[in-house]
Amino acid sequence: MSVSTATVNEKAAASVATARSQRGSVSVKSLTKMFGPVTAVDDVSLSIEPGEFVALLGSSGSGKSTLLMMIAGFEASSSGDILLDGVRINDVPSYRRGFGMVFQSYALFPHMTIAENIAYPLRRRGLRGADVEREVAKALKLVALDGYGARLPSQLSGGQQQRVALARALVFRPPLLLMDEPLGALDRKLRQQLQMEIKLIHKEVGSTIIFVTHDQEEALSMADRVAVLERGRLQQCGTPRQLYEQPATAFVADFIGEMNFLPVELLRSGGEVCARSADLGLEVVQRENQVLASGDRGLLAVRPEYVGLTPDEGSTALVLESAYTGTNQSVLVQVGSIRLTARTSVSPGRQLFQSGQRVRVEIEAAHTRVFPAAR
Amino acid sequence: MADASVAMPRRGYTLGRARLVPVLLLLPIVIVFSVGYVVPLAQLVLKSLQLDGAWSLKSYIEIANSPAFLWIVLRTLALAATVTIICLLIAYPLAYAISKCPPRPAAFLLLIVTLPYLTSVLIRTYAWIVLLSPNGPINQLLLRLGVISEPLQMVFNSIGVYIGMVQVQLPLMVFPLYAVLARVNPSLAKAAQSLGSPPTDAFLRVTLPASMPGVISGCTLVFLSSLGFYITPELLGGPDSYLIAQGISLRVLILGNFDEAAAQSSILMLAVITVFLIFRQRIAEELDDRPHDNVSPTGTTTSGLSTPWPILERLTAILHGPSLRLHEAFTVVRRPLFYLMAALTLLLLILPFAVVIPLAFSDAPYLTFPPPGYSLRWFSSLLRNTQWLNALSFSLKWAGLSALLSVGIGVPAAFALVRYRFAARVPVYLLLISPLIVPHVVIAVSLFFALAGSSLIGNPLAFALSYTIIGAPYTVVVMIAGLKRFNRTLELAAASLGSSPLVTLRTVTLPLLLPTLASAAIFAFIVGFDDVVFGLFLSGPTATPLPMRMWDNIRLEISPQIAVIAVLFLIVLALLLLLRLFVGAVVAGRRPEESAHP
Repeated sequence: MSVSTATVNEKAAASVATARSQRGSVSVKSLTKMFGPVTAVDDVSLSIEPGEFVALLGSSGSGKSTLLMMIAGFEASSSGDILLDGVRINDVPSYRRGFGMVFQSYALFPHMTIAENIAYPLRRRGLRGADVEREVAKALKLVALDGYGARLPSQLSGGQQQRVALARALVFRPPLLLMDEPLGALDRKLRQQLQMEIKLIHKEVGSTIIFVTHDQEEALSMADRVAVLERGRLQQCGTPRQLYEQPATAFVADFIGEMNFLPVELLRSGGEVCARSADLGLEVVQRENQVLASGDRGLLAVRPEYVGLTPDEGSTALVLESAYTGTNQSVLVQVGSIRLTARTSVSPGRQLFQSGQRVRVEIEAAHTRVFPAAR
Repeated sequence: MADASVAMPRRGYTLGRARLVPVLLLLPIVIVFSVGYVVPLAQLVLKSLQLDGAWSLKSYIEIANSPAFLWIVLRTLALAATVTIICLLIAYPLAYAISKCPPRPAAFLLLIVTLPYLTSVLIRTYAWIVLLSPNGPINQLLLRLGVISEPLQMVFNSIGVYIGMVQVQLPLMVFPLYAVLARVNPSLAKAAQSLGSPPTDAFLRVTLPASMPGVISGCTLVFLSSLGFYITPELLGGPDSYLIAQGISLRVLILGNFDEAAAQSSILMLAVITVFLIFRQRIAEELDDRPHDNVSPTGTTTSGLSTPWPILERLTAILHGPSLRLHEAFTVVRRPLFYLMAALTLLLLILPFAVVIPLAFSDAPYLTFPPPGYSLRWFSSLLRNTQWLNALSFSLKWAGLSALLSVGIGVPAAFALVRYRFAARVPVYLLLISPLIVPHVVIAVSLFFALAGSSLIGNPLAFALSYTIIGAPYTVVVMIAGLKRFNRTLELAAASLGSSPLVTLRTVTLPLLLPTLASAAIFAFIVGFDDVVFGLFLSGPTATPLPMRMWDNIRLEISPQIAVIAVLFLIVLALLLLLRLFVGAVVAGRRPEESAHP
């Protein structure tokens, strides 16, 4: 292909200009993917604002990667739409979508130097010569790898390789950056360091980011919003705080953080539902809603930090086991037929709970949520 | 497996008009195979069913009524079966030992196994004639040790054929065994030991069953290849060890009894294809990209325990104590014994080279071993002989061209077979690799009949065609293996960075597959360069390949000249392997200095 340099540079300039404007809103409408009889992604709808950092969170087989692959254009959708800035892109091949992508295995080209790897997308866009060198140098600086351009991928550590992959995916200023478990192959410490770096780089370049992970801590600490997927269905999409404090489904409640689920009876009267646990002597009343439309059994979800314990020799509740973790103590308590975990803060001078000790259990009703029993 | 289109999630670009692409990729090889392979073989079968233009089973009836032919069939079957069993018994310890080696020694040992495999059968057979002859080194050694009082007759009879065949077929057994054993998780045997099995018992109960797929493929390959083998029996055998392939070529080349030859060829081909199809599942597995489960539970009951015969169960219970002690006793000698066997097998593999190399530098005017003195006289006699040189350049030229053609048609075919799912995928794959299994004598005879009367007999083009037919399956197999190992995420990465599929192919896929392409080309070249059988049927005054000159020399005068060719061949082979290593190193990116900047 022979394109004159003048038009090439114009093109490049244009692409840079458009990237800087507020481009990169992505929305997915009723997107479904079937693999034969298996539904990998089931009627998922999601909209992402320009510049937003969204994590797709789920365990393996939840459909999060398939969803990402459809957005990237590597997997055809069975039905539904994918829109970029309001334009349907389902039929645009991956190489014309212009999204940056970072893979778990880095996917650096082993036969090219670091500089050649980063120059690759620029050359595909017609850039040549000094322009390429300038952009490559800038990208290397962005990921703090100046001077590494002449090396080969095999000469870099895992963390460095992942930074190169990031530089390569960002060097052409894509409106949208897709990351498929990018930190999955790294050890814990390096992962935390790179999480911070990615957040900083996100602020600097302003691309929209969709980030797939199975690590809830990673999702909560990095993303503006987290979309939780389970068996191909979108369970909830919200800010980390919303997910933690107001989980929409029992799955999300269980998946994010630690949670006790206590069997309760559901009693209905006048548009209200009363969840009652005889063992705990607890009643939680809340407005009747769609989720709790029917059934007389439910699950009361309460986080361990909202289970209060006080030593009480007259109580029937018994400490079974406890674990000291520095600032906290986790305590497993048996109350009637129920077992639940409490987390109490440890303060100097205060006695730790011992197994065999009798305790009184108090649950703050304001911090509980009720879900139907059949999950 | 056959209907893989549904069960194969997340493979291949599902976007776009993918249906036509595999057809286009397969078209060249299918055309070449139709012209040079399928149609001639079909004509051969038709010819066997006709007599003077009318349908007739007369040839078959004559064969069936001939006790001599039945004896030949039985002898061939017995030879193939015996060679297979011996190969299995001596290849297993070697394959096992290699699979236990660290990567570098393992690669070196595999190279030692590969070397004879790549070296012309003709050269190896020649070495065995020298080794086994009445005044050859083996007889000399035995005489000196006093084991025998007069030389054993080991060549030009069945003993020679068996020894030669085992050595020739051994690599075919080692490769699949090693491939499977290397995949068996070593923790399995350790787990069995931790659960109370002594090492030998753990081997018998865990490792051996897990390696069965390799045993089956190895035995299938060796058995099928032995059934139609021509060169080694013809050169090492005597009049008492006459096999099917020899019978066929005798009928065509000497007796001119084409009808019976066609019938016998058809029978041999059908027998081979039948066995091939019975074991096709195992062979087609090479295409499969799901992880293999080596051992699948069979005959399980509701309890999940297999139910052996009650008597056997009670017997093993009684024998449990003694057998445990036996296993424990065996544990002590197990390792030395195993490695001794492996070492002996290696020795068998490299023995021919130990003879051939000194022989090339012999200063004797005739064949004698060990040489009385050393000189380069046989090298200079080769350089002065235009017949040899012409044959050499003919072989280099046409085997080289055929190798390029094989790569040209085999590589797109491998892409189609690995990257696309279509209904005819497995049948097409089996067809493309079948020349590895159908005896070359049969293919050569069918081409001889198809070309008979045309000017193509004795024409280099006929060689180009036949070398491509036998070379292309190697390029397909090597490329399929390479493509399956290829990390496709790199292609996705290239696409995400803006490369169209063709640009991705040019900038990422092909550069990274360069070492595989080199291997494929080397294999295809050597297969053509080594060929004798097609030469027997297609040679003419202007088209005589090097192996035909060697063949005539071995049969008519047997001089150290062949050893010189062998040494030159080994040098070329070493250069090719070095080239392959170099290409691999460049692609793997061990070149820190050059190309610092984009």
